[in-house]
Amino acid sequence: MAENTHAGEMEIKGVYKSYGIENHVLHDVNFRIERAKFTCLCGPSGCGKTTLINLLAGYDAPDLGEITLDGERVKGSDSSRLVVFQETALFPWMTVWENTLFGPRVQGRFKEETSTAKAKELIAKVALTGFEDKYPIQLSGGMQRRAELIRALINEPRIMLMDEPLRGLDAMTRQIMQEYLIKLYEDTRNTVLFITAELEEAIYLGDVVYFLTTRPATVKEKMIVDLPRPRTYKHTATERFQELQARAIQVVDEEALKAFGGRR
Amino acid sequence: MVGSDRTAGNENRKYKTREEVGTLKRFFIRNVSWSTLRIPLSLVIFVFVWHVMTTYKLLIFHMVPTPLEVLTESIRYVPTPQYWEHMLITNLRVSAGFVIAIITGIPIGLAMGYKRVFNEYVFPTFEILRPCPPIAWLPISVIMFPSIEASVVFLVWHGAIFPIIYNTYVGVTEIPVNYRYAARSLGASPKDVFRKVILPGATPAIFTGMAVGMGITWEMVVAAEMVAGGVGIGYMTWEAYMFIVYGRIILGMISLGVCGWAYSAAVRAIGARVMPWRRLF
Repeated sequence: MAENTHAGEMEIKGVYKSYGIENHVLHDVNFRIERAKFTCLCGPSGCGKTTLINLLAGYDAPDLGEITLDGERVKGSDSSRLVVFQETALFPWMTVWENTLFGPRVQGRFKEETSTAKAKELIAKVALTGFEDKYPIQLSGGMQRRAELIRALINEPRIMLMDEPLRGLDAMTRQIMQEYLIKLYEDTRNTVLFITAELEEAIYLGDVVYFLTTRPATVKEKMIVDLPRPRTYKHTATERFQELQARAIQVVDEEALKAFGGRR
Repeated sequence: MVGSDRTAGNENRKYKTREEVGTLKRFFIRNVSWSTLRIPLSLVIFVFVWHVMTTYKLLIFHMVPTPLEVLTESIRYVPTPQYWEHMLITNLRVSAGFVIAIITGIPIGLAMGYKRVFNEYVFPTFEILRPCPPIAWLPISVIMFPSIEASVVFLVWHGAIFPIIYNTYVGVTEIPVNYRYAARSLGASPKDVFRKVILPGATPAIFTGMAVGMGITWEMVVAAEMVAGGVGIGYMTWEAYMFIVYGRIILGMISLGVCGWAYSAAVRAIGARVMPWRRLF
């Protein structure tokens, strides 16, 4: 396990957010993203997960409450918290190579030898060697997501915020991507916040899972996933996993019922 | 392998070998099919119908020149310096108007898409002016501008600039907000965001605007020349009608068609070079 000196932690206290009078999205959200841990956020679609990520990344500010990174209040967006978006936000007009080096170049931290060496290393880690000169449109869905991952990783952010990055991928690609994510996390030990609507995925990948209610969202339950690391697919067949999954389904079921008007 | 087996009993095989078929026939089989023949065939049919309708003076075509008349007039007129003078002037007017439209229109479109306040000032006037057909500006253009050249170039400019501004504006506003978020997070300054995200992101739409505008410029120049007169392909076409040299009318039409096509193809080709990520699948 590599020693990670730049992993940060975030604390979210009493956050409220609404858009206009009708649209109350977040209601008293409280949780922690612990240092060097893989935290998952699970909730029904449309409950405000993307809004939460926008607040954490600094694209928007909460109406009430406090969001801190390593003790300091979060103001605006910078490269300490990088987002991997739902529908990829890779720049279509740049090649994989140019996309990856965008962060270092634009921050003025680009040094010919070190930055290119790091880029090559990361590209090899996600098995995109040979595709450096391809444009995103020439890559498959899984490859695009991987490219977006390393575009963020090369900047050594303190927190990686991932907003349902595996959404829309087919089952096989999804499984491969999950294994990549696990391996990347266990190699780099970055702090990760992973938002997903898939319960199994959250338990499989994460160390901690927070469950959100429907709109207006608040944290309903915190579940600690005590499955061992390095995590493999075999762990999803263990009894402990089944227990966790059963509990998760129970939690989510109550919320889903509410979302559908309390009727089955 | 079929064909290379020369043992007895092979007279029944259906397929001939490469060597047996021969080069010329192979060329025909590969490149010539009913599909490829239909294209030139359609042109031949068109010319044929034109010839019949005009030679035998049928229906509304009784005054229209025959293909032969057009051909002889072209052979006679194209080598003359007058023809090329007309061509040059018209091309210059279109080029000038279009270039000025790009230089003025793209920045306006970008500003409208990027800066809300600017948009709020400019958009209402823009939207009121846009529906009016550019040709309707002809009389006022003649009133406003002292010289014929200026008024023609103005009309060309006017025809091109509306699609350019509009498409540029739409191009900027349609850039997914996540691209801008990502750029900001990755540490890009507002200048970087504009140069490396907004501009490339809007480029496809800008080229669409240019392609549409390019088509309109040719319509404008013809209309302007027919009315304002003097020189130019549009004027030449009109003059041919006045002087009853009807073959030259068709020559004018063909010249305009060829030029218009060439300019549009040039815009498309430049677009393909500038946007390599667009045609790769």
